[in-house]
Amino acid sequence: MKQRHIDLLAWALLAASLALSVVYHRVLMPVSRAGMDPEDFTRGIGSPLLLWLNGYLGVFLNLRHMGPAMVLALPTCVVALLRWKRLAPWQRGLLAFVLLAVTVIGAFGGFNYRYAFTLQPLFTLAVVGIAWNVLSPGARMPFVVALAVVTALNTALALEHRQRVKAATPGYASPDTGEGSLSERLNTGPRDLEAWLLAQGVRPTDTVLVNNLPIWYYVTDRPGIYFWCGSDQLFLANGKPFLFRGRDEAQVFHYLRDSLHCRHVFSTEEYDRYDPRYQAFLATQARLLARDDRGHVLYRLKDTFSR
Amino acid sequence: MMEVLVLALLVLVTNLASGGAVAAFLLGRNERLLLPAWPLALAGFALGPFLTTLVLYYTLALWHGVPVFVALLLPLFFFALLVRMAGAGRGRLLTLLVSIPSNLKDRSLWPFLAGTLFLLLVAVVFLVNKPLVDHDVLEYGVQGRIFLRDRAISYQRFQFDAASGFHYVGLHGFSFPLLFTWEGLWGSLLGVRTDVWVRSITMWYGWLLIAFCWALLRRFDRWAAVPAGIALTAPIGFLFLLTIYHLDSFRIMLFTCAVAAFVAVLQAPSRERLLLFGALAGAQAFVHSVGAILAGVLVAVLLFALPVRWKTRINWLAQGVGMLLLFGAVHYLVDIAFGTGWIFQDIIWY
Repeated sequence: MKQRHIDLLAWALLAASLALSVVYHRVLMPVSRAGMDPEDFTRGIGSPLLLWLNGYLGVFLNLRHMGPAMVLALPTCVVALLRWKRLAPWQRGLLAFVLLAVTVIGAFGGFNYRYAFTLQPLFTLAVVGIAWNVLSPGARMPFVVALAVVTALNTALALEHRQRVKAATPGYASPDTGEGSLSERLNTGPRDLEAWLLAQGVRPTDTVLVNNLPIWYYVTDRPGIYFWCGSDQLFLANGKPFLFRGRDEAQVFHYLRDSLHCRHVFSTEEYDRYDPRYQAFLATQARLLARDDRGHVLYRLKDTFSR
Repeated sequence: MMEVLVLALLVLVTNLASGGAVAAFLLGRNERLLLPAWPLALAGFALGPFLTTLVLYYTLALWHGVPVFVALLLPLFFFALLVRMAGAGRGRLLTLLVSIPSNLKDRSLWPFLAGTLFLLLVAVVFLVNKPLVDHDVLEYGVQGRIFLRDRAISYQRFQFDAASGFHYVGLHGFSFPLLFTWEGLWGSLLGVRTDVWVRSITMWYGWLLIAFCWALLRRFDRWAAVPAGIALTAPIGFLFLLTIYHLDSFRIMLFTCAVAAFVAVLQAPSRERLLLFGALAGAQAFVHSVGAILAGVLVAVLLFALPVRWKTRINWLAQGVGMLLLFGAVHYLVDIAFGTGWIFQDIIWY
């Protein structure tokens, strides 16, 4: 391939990554749940297309969190694979590792962008390094500068998308879209959990069902039963049994009260929405004791007289 | 005030002195490693806090209920030993550090300097305004404090703490929780309960990652490193990496160093480079399960791609895998055999 064509191809790919960024943020990414599972919506994998885009191929295409250097790494890998025999041994080794790593991360960790992000510095180094080696001397620096500009534009589009999600999704909260002082936006924990619990009449020895809030164990010395309604799992000494599966509401109530000796539930309004059965159980079998201004909620199971 | 004292003390002792000890040790072996000095030194600084947790891991796993002062002193003795073994590396590190002011006359480094100062400002703002509130890091924190309370690490089918009812569901190595244990040991000595240093680790490793990549990018062109550095750091994920307290900057810095060492081994194979690769691959494995799996992939690729005779290849790789296990990957073998079963347990992903 002539040098002019290589330069042209590189610019075309960069332009295509910018176009993809616009389509991704303005068309493909939803701004509200619209029937999606809340967890899948949060992770950006709420439809088959999104599952491929941000999940299996998230290492390359998750433009919510990563930049166009990751997009450019995809054709780079394809071209390198086609030129396998012409690669130096170290380049073959690196390519083999990258392809295997992308497969592993896509298959097992695609649901979580943080795993895909593992390769971000490596891909950025590789894309810049390859551009520097294959482009004509006059095109190198403009290309890398353009890559930085496109990355900044992609980030601006991602931030704007987050604002639209906030406008369309009740309960959506994150530091960059929240309101109030910086301290208020960054500190989402309970203000004084111990005092709050005492004020609600929860004694220091009372066992509480803790719905996926490890801050309970971090700031108090109170006994808790760790639970996550999203997967319906209790995390006990001898295993991780389900709470609701195979039990009706009355059985869950008696199991909590009589077997686990637990009368209180500590959660957040956001977490409560993750499982309708759990939400229904709280509505019928428990009483809301308190709600703080940061969304933490405390329930007490009703007593024999449904109080 | 005491929190600031603990932060200053731990930054000095663990980030700078212990990291410097590893950097000097590695630079002392650079006649054989033949690697660029700055990236090698930065990898050394990255290994400082990590090796603290590794020494602590072996101490707490092998000596249950170890006295506080022993748990505190053992890592420090280890780093003192490294300094002693560093030989010429001490002078090389000093030369590198002394060259910083004169290097700053190079204007292409000014954006990096400006970015460093900006990150320092961001770190201060976040450390003052953002306590530990995010889910995952709190779980690591709770487990780290359980290690601190018991001064013991044990393997059991379910990592369950009977005193609190906390069930550690993390699948990963204990390096990150042990940072909490380390800060807690110093805190108990000074009579303060704090996590400010562990919170600062997110930014410290984020900065190390930028510096490491910047040092490599400058090898293409010193000015190209400026826009390339922007392309590296501008995505939202990287901004989260720097500001959300988590283990990601810790593991990704060590992972990036491990891949760099992997490339160095393939470019010019030597036993020393393979041992360095094994150490870095083991380190990033001990931080996170993804790192452990990717370490296996790296070794598998080396098995087929290392351009040396098969006998040498097997010999070197056996030593490299030994380093990998020693540097923390052994945790996963023990966890599979005697503990939770690691990823081979019944996991519900969410």
